Amino acid sequence: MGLSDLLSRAAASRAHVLVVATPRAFTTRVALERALLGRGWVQAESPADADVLAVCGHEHTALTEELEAVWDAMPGPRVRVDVADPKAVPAVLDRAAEQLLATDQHVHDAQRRGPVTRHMDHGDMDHGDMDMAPAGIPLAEGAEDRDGLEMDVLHLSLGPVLPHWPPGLVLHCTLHGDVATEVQVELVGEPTTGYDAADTRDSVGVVAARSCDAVVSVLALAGWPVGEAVARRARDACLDGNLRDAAQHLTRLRRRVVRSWLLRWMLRGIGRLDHAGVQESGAAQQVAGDVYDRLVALIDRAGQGLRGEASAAGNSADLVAALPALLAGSELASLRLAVASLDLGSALARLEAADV
Amino acid sequence: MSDLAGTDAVVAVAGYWAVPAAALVGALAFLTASLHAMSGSAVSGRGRLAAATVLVREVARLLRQRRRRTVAADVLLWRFATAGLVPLALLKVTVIPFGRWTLFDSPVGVVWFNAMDVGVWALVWLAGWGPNAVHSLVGGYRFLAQAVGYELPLMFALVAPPIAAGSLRVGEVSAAQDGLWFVVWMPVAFGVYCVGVVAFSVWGPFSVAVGSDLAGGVLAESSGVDRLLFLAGRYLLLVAGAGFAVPMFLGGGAGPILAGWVWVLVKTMLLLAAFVAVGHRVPSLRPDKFVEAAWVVLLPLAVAQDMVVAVVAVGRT
Repeated sequence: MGLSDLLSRAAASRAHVLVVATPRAFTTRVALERALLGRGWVQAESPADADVLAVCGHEHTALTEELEAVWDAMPGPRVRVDVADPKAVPAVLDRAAEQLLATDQHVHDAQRRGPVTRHMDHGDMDHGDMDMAPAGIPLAEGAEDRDGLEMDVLHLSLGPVLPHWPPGLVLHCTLHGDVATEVQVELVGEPTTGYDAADTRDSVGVVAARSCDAVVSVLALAGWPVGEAVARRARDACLDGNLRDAAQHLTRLRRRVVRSWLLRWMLRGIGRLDHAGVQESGAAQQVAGDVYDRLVALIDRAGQGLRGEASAAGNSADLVAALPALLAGSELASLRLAVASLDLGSALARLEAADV
Repeated sequence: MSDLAGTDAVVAVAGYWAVPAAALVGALAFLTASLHAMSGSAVSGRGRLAAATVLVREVARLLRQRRRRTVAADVLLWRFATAGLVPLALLKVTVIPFGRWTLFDSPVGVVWFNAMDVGVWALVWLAGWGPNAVHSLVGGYRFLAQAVGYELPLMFALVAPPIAAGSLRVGEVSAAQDGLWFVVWMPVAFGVYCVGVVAFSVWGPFSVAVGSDLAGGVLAESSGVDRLLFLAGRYLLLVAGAGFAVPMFLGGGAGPILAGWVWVLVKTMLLLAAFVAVGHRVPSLRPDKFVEAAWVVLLPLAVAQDMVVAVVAVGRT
């Protein structure tokens, strides 16, 4: 017993947490991310990687089904916690750590549900009549891709539970290999009551922090941990009100980004969104250029936000409506980078504020 | 010196030495992973937790976690692939001379190493294929695209030392660097080789197959001991790659005062430290862009290096 107890304690001190971002819970999510990294915990990348499912915000009824699927896909030992607001974070994480140690309950949970078999990718496959459907999943159909090669057609829903992804956004993608040929947009999880106070009357710091957070996402997806860490520091300083520190971090970040020829080489030319369909949509102004241009623009915008200079925000509804045209034909990595660089988190927040 | 020439030859030791050898390689992998964790906490500004304990706790976590199966998964191939990297990396190590000793003194040791290396293609791809899920499948595809980029330059880089030594036996390649290490006069081959090692270890800038933009890619559906074995395999591959560079480019066990095997260890660790340093600091290389650079720049450079080495080798005889 002593040994397995030791194992449990060691394991629980290194929990991986799948953070579920919901609309209007920006400050809550950031507080959660900071607290868990501060404990030496890790942000999980997928349900299979997660011990703790942490849902941010007040209202997530629209996500119930989605969260159920994620919960089923978690291997166990597993714990689910809801984080209502930033102040609740420490207590919630303490509780999660405690529940992770309840080995008897986890054994019971494991016996009750048998082998872990579900996963999410096939949840909304819709192939109509198919002759071949092993285990209830129709085989992928073939179709010609953009180069005229026959590729499997796969269906993938990105979001709403996905790290570095705008809260409340779901993209239903039809993939040929790893190229999204068709993209449909859905917005889910809009709260009916209650909201994160700081999110609706955004202070200077929060506005800048949102831009920094988009930078964190872009750099995380670009696989550049050094840059991502600086962007995180800038974001956290914005929220703490240390605007001078934040400005310094941003200057340093901008210098590093501009200096890295490798990053420029990787991000140049991808997610270029100035073709005709976009020009017409009215969203052209804020999305001009490629991912690299938008990354630098985001850093600059965060700096402007800190100085209280309101940057001209375009029409968020237009931007969301333009997504299918923007993203169709992108390969998966480009698509993820493009979405992150569009800073849709801020756009969606504006959209909701307009609704209220 | 000539009457001692016989002692230069590498001695193949009995098979049971494979056990302590594997333990040593495992220890090096653990050290590398700790170093990586340490540099990670330095990067993110969180130095509160000792890196070694992070690793122990992570291993404990994965041992306690349940394994997963996905719907209609190819379980046999999936498990084979996630578990396969560890033995594959250990097989690579067998041909590396550790001072005067080696486990497998093959006359074609260099080819052996390269053959094992191609095995990585199959295993990483199958690990992505097995779960029957989109993210992991795309991760598998990505690794293949990356492999198309690094493998040929790596092969040509591995050709240079045997040309100079006139042998594919790793011990003889090592011994041929008497006085002048190959890294000195074939730096391009060494550089390309290092790129290849980082790439076949799915490491740092070459870890796009398990990237965040694919929710973990090949690893997106793996948990528990399966995940642990795959991650351990990655570190072991890195150790094998660094270790093999020592007889190929870094003079093997040559060095003052200390015994040969100590020098092999020291050189391996220095190279591992360099690989770890790359891990957090260089952005991911997207396979589509890397392939272009690999074929347009790295491959011609490696071939040119081989030509120079061949001309020198012919001139010597």
